[in-house]
Amino acid sequence: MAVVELQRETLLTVKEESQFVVVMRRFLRHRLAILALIVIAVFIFIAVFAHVIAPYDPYKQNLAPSYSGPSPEHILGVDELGRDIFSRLIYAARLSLFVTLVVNFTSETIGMFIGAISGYFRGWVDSVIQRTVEFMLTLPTLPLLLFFSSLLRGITVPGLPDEWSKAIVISGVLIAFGWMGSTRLVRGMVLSLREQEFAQAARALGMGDWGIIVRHMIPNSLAPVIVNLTLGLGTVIVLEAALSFLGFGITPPVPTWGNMLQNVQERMWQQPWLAFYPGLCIFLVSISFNYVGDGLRDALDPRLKL
Amino acid sequence: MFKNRLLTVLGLLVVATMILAACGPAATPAEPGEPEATESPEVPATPEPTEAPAEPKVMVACLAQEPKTLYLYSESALVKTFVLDALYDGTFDSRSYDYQPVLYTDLATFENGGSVKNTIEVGVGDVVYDPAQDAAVTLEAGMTISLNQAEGDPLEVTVEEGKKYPVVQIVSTFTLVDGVTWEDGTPVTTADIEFSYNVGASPDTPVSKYFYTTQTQKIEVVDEKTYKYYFMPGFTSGTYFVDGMITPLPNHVYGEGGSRPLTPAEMLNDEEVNRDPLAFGPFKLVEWVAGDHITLEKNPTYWRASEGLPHLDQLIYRFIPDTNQLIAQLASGECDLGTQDAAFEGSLPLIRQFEAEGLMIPQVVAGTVFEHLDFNTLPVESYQGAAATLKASDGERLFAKKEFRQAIAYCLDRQAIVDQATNGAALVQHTYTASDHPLYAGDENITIYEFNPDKGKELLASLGWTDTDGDGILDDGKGTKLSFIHSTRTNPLREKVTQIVQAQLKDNCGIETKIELYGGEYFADGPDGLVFGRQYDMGEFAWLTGVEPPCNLYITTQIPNEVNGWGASNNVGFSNPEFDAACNAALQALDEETKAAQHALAQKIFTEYLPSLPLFARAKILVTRPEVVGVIMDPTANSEFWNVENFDITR
Amino acid sequence: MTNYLIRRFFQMSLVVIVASMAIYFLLYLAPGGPLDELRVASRGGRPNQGFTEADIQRIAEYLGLHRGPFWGYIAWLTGEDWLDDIGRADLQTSTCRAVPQTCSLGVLRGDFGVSWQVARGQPVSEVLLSRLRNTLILMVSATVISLAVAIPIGIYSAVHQYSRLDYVFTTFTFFGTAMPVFWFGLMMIILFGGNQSPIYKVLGLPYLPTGNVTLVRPPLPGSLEALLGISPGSWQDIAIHAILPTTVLSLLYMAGWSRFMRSSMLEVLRQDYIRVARAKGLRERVVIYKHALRNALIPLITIVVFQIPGIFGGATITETVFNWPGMGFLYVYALGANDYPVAMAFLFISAILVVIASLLGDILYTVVDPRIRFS
Repeated sequence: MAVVELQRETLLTVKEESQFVVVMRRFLRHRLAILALIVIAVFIFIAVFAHVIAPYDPYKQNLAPSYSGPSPEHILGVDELGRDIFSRLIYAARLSLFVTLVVNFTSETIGMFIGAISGYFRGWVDSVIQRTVEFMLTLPTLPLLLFFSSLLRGITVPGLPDEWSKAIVISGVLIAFGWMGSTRLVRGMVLSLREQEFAQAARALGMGDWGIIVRHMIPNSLAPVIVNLTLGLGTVIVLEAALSFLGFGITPPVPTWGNMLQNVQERMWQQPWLAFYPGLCIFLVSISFNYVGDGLRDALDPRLKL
Repeated sequence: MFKNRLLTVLGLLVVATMILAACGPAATPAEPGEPEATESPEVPATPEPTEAPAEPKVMVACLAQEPKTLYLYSESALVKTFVLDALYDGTFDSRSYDYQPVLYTDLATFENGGSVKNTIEVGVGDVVYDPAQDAAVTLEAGMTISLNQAEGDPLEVTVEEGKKYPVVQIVSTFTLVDGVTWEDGTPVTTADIEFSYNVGASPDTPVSKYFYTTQTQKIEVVDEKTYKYYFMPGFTSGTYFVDGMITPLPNHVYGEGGSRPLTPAEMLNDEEVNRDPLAFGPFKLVEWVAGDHITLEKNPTYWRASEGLPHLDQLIYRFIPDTNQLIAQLASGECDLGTQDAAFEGSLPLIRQFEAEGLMIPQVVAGTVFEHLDFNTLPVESYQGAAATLKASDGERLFAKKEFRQAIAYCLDRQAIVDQATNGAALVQHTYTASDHPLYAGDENITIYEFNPDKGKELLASLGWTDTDGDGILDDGKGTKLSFIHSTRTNPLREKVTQIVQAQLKDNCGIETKIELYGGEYFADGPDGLVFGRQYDMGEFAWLTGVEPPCNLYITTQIPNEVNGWGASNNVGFSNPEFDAACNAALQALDEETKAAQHALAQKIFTEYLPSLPLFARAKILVTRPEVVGVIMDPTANSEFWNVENFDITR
Repeated sequence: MTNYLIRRFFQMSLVVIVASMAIYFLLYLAPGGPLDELRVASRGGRPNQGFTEADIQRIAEYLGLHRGPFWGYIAWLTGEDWLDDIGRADLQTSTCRAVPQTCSLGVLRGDFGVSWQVARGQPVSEVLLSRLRNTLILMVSATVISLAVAIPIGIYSAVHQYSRLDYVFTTFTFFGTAMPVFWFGLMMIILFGGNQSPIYKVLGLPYLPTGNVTLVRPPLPGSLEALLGISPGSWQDIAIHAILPTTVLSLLYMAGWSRFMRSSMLEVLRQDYIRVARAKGLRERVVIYKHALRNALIPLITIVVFQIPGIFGGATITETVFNWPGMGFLYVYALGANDYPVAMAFLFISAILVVIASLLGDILYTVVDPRIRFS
């Protein structure tokens, strides 16, 4: 017995170590994924060094007339208050990227674990979790946020500038309302996965429930979660701007891609391309994460030859 | 096996969706075939429509909102007025800061004899108006009260048993114009007026009872056409000549002995009362499709029908909340008229572009809604924000210093704010009254703060605030920056204004503001409320004012506090006895000269102390198609439908 | 299974009751209720000319707000007609006390009460029904169309991963999620709607309506409806008005759903049994549709069943942009106007649909994968 146990243990560890290296190597061969990673890195670089890169102060209201188009001084033109759109776009990357990455990664991870537990253990655990999910889904977001708004408004993170502390609160709220989607997705997958042969086999080998969940259930139900995450990246950026109507979003004049999109509405007829500037940023970020996801999944699949 | 089950489920889903889809359209009375048959002469693809001699004139007026009800005694929303103006034609119009009778033969002024000032004797047990409480009180022995006199000053008396005291009472006489009938042909009489009055006064009707319990003593029917309106003894008002005008409700339908008698409580929830009121104006209601449109039709029994009024055969109110969609429908001709409740300000450049193409004509008029910056001169004790903590060099609160507030006024280029935030549509305003108002004191009689940042900085320096550390922001030399919160209830216009103000104050004078946007809770009642709980630094919102200058917004008794239940309007905490006296005198004066002089005095004091900095009068913007004629936007006429009977379309 | 369904039914009822109670309390306690609005509205006139506390109290009794959240919820659920029988006539609304026929019967007896604001005095059920038709037309057609397109696209993209068309679909999908709905809506209106649109002015083709559900007067010359001779209010009229909003909404759903289909299909195609099936020489078509598709459906089922409450709930932004009076817009309007009876009814029905959708999802899981069992 002990020998078998030992053998399995070593087999697993050895395999695992090499597996990581293999996955890395395979991933690096996925050219599109690498390109996507570079795009993401560039965006993060821009966000971090916005104050160096941006040609103008994003808050400075220039004398240029509102919405005047591209010119040598302002390569993307100016917005409704005569501020340089390009500089605002660069500064907006900070909060927008922060909020959307934190919200999506956290809520998908939380949702994934809860969903896996719910689907794997079934029975009363599943009932409790699923009824809670249903309850959460029926709660109306708008009045709920209104109800908590005075409370949420009061929360500040000491030592952080106002808009960052607001961004953290917003992220918290969006996570609290955002985990149910992936919970349901993963649960559905796990309900089916746990009945499949390999799961039966793992159980027969004496692997613990948690081990099966972490080693087998979650990795195998990752695909829809990645889709959910990449699709959610754009949604969250727009949602953040919607929150400001309830009074605790990021207040002007701090730019975010969401509020920049929101503000061009009155100008849609004459200059519909104004929406492209923030839209293109959101597009690039979300499609890049999509290809990184694709690359990761291909790399993780031992059967696929790359 | 599996496939069958899947197919069954999918099949069921498809069938279910098809049923749903089929159910949908079938729910409307589509009358298949029939309309096709009647329309067929028009169907042939002849591009030019054959000029039918009597093609009905249909106007589509597009509103941003749907009225919630058309019941007279329900909330007073502008959209309701839009429709009621066509159904009832109003009792009077208030155009160009003046009043014009509509349903009644004349205004009841002292000059034309419509109203008289009587001096009556009152004693213990009589009900009179008490200006101190702004309420009607029953006289009791031993109480002290100030009684209004017809001529001269009020009389302060201590009531004694058995004694009588003189007090003024205004009585107005109103006569209905000839030929007014309900749409069913029944004449409108004073019985309808009385019925309407009683419904309004009923405790079951949830409207403010001020009119019934404080302002009015009684109404008295003289004959079918004429009634007398008795003000509460001692009650005077600058608008006494229209105050007693009452809109009739159909007594012959809902009244006792009517065809469908209803109690006031039943009327509130009655579908017909709320959604298909009986009209006596130029139009009558034929259809209300919830969420979509209301169709009105020419009322043949309209009393001015012999003059060929109304010109239109059909008037359709369509509800289009989205401004871009509304403009699209105006541009393509689906809408003939876009009303002021749509937020056209932000889209003005687009509208001007369409105007140049000959597709639409905007009418931009400064209205009676004015946007203002309020300074919290009297924060509640528990408040810890900048309004309470920033101090002038003499140790007094900075916000309580008039020099500070004047400095802010000098530091702001208000015309630039108007140009940037409203595309130049709004009108800069210097006091709580618009500059074209007849009761405006005049530029020379008030203090006007032209844009002058140097003067602003000078004033701030005199209060001990200069930029000692060279960071571009003023400070008191002891490490405190001149920084406070600019809060407002969020809407797109204010979002722009706050940002422009922020940039101007910083660039022009080195003042830092932080913007805080709130939802509806911004106006919550104190003590928890922000503005009306006096817990803010600099606040921004708008007052909707009527024809009379609203000086009473700033009198001492209107400071929200525990005693008045926080339900008062002087959120800036302005308190100035001279101002109070001038304002009260102006509001109660019966002769025009005193009224004008006192209003001017109040405005002079107000602009000197500047507890609140008026920014601009918001523009009312109405957009019509070029073929629409007769639509005139008026600064004081509440709704642009005041002369709906004259609207016309020329093709 | 029967036992399971019975137990599930009780759980579902419990969720709906608890949720509706929570929602009721939430609406009641959130700042800025109808009475607050009245207080705000009454400021600024002549001193005291607005509502006094007595007026407000009277309005509270008229609306039933004087009961407080607890009794308010009880009355909402079970009606108020029996309250005087237990000696609590003071908890009834003033109209109910005066005219017993107007007493609300409560949701359990199918009475959602009377609208406060959106359409004052109208029964809530009528208010909802007036918008339901429009919403169903829009949502059902968008859902059916996007499912019909998204599943084949997803399968194609998975089978031909990294092909040129797959890149096109991927780009389109992420463009769809990056640009806001109002942008797509307005672009549609600008390009195809009204007689100022390029398709009419430049190409001379008949144009589509920019918005609304029906016409209210005969179609203008040059429009598609004038060309077809369609009369206002007919079903053809509604169908033509539905084209633009349905297109926008379908594109939106399609973008997301095709991604889920693609990814789970990819996952399944890598499984051993598919390789075995292929190795056995089965035709590709059989492999994909008989063996792979079934197992790839689970994530899509999870996503799509929750479209059921969505079909009832409508799509607020699309409805607003195209002035399509539907449920989504009604709900947001009712919330903003503090019309609690309408908002409550909407949320209650949505809650029921959510738990039903959840159950339906579980049942469909067992259909596509018979190894999944609930007991």
